[in-house]
Amino acid sequence: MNIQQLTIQHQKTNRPILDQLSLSIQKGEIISLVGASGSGKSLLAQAIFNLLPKSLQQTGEIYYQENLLTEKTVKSLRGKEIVLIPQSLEALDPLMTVGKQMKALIKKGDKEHYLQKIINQLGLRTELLKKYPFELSGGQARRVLVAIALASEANLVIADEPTPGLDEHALRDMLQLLTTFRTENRALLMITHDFQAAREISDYIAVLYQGEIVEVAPVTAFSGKGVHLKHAYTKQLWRSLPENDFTTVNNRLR
Amino acid sequence: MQLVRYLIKRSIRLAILLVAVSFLTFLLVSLSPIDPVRAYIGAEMLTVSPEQREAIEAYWGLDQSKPVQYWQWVKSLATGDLGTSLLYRAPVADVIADRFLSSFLLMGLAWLLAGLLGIVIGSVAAMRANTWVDRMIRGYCYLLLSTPGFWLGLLLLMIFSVWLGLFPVGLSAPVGVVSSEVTVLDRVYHAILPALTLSIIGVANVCLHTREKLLDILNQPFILQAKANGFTGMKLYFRHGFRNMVLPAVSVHFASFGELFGGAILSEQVFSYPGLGEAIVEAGLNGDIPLLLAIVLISACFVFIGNFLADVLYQWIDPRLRKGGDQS
Amino acid sequence: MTKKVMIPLILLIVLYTTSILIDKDMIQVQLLTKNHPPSLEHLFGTDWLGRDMFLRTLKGLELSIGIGLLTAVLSTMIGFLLSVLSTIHEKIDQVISWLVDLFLSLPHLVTLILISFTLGGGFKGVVIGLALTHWPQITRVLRGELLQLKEMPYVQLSGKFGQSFWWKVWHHYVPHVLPQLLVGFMLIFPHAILHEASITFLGFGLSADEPAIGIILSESMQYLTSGMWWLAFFPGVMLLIVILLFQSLANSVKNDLERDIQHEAFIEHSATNHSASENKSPYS
Repeated sequence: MNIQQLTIQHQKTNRPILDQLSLSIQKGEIISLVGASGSGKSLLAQAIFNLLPKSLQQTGEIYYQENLLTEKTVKSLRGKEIVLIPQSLEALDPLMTVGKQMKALIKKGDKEHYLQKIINQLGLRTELLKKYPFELSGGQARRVLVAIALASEANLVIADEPTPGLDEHALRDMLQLLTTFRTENRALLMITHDFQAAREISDYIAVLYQGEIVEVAPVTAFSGKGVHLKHAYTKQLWRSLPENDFTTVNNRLR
Repeated sequence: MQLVRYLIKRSIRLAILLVAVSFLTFLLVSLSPIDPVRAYIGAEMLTVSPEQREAIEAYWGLDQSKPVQYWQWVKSLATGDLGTSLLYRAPVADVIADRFLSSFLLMGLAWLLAGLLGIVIGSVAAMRANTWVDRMIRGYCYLLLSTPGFWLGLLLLMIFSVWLGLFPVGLSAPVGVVSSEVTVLDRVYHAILPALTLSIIGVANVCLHTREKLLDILNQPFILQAKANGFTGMKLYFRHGFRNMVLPAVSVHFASFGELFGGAILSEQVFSYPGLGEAIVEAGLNGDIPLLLAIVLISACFVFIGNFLADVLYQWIDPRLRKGGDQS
Repeated sequence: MTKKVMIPLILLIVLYTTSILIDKDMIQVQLLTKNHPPSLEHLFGTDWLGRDMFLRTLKGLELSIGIGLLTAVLSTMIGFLLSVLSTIHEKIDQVISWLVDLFLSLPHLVTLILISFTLGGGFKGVVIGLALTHWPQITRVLRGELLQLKEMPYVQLSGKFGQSFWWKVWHHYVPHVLPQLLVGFMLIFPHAILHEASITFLGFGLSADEPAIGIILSESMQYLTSGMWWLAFFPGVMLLIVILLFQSLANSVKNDLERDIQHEAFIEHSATNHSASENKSPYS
């Protein structure tokens, strides 16, 4: 997928929230878009799906496998070629069982069988399928949201803040789970404010600052004193991580 | 267990309510200047001597004090005896039984029709929010909310019965047919126009509530997610919209039983449809106190049941509340 | 005031003044022109006594609007009084809440029939009946509002300064709920008119010699089978128009007031937002 000069602005004031944002992602890659909370990065996900609120206006071009996405073509790709792992746990329908919602995007013949496979892969129990979303823990709900995307055959996965509210252990599991997309040779764009998490699984990290992408760097650039980083904000960001002063990241990952 | 406790609690509430309603109603009725004996005798009042009058009063227990009369009435109510209708010269229970069925048919038809139509057009309005379709539907609803139901009934009567001759003018049974021979089909046939009147008015309430609720749901994150998952239009509506909207909408519709009953009174009067509504009007106009009291109590039960069902829908069918309650 | 408020208001005032100006003597029995369908001379046709239906309808509207205003004012006052009483003591509040539930437990029309029956119908019966049946909703709204207001520091403070209860009611409660009183009053009005016509139509309301819309419509029933549609059609349409005008007036005023409140909240909100955004740091 290739995003070119994507600008999102308020319909009335014309004040841009995201300004001329360009980004591209290939199969088998994980790219993280890192930015502060409230910097409007979630809007990027909505813009890719053409689901922005009416008060916002998007300009610029998005290509998927060389084809320009229009209102019409996006509609036919949603849920089939592109899927969204949403930020809000309320993205699960409160009145529908988890199982039924997990089956939403399975197109293959034997749905039950396939669903069972996914469940095993996620380490979830089968009883969970008969439960309603309010009966899940936060961690379970997050995994269910990922599972729905995993069950689809989409080649491009957009994950909008998939990690908040998880404890250390659950966070590990979640990140592990997200790398599955790479193993399956799909593309994952993770939108997050969790720089640390982004560093652990991404191939590239794009840094969003005041509505603009100030730097796209391979994850290897984020090491040592950050001499390979170009933009001042990125460097500042890198140094601001607490462990950079006294320990290396490798220790934490052990 | 919880269900049992809930039902017991509700039954106690109904009992207290009925006692209060019966007391207030009795109080109001006994303050009335209308003389039940005069109402009973009618035009022949002049030929009744004071002695005869006293005999009648003693027979009905009217010579006793009001509290005693109330106590007597409540006591006989408890045994299922609703008293004797002065107007129909028959036990109130018998008068009501037949009319109850007629009214039930009328209100049931109207309720179902209004509910179905209301949910359908309310859904259309919400799915097409702020388009001309939505504006038309809303305009129609606001117009109906301002329309006197009985006047609408008069118009329908004029159009369908007088001009087109499709439906009879009045009476739930054909003239000259013994009531026991009236077929179900006949009853339904006569109930169509009054039910139509009732449901046309009733649609507005359900429709506006459905629209509001559905709009609310359409703004929820799970709808955005469903759209991102490729669900749109009718598929989205039935998968996520309808499922979440229908319980609250039906619940609101149950809670409107009071308006339904009030509407039925007017509708039955316009179409001379012999139901409870027509009976309460006759009873009120002719001072038939036992009949009046009985129908007032029935109407209270009716409203209570509506609210009860609305409550049950919310409490016991929504998995969040049902299962959540089990855990605690 | 916006256009949406002014237009229905002016129309209503024009309609009401015209109806007052019509003298009862102008509505005369003229057997020569009886049962005439609508024409330029008689816009709404004439009835079986040759009376002009246009004049009768307008006169009927005068009565309807009058009763509607009177009962809406009375109901609003009852609602306000009961909600004020609610704030005095918890027990009183419980009783009043129970009374609200009790009144809502009977169909509106049934309560009206009962009260009219008790009072023997007529103008007095209708007005009292309508006033006594339209207060529960507004009481509910005002009660919630006042119970909240009661806990406000500045109201509590007045109490500590030794101001009397009624002083508080007049200086704190009344100004605070004035918008709700206004909206409540305007929302009751169309209901009251509708119910007045209904109860009169059923025979419990105004007596047959009054020029009420309910009476006109009830009489028209006898002539429907002979095809005199105009007897029922026009009076009903006029009643519908009056109710619609009032409904739209009430809605516009309500929206205006709500917008004002929202606007205030918005200004406050954006002000706090602004100050917060000035000292934000990327990963604080």
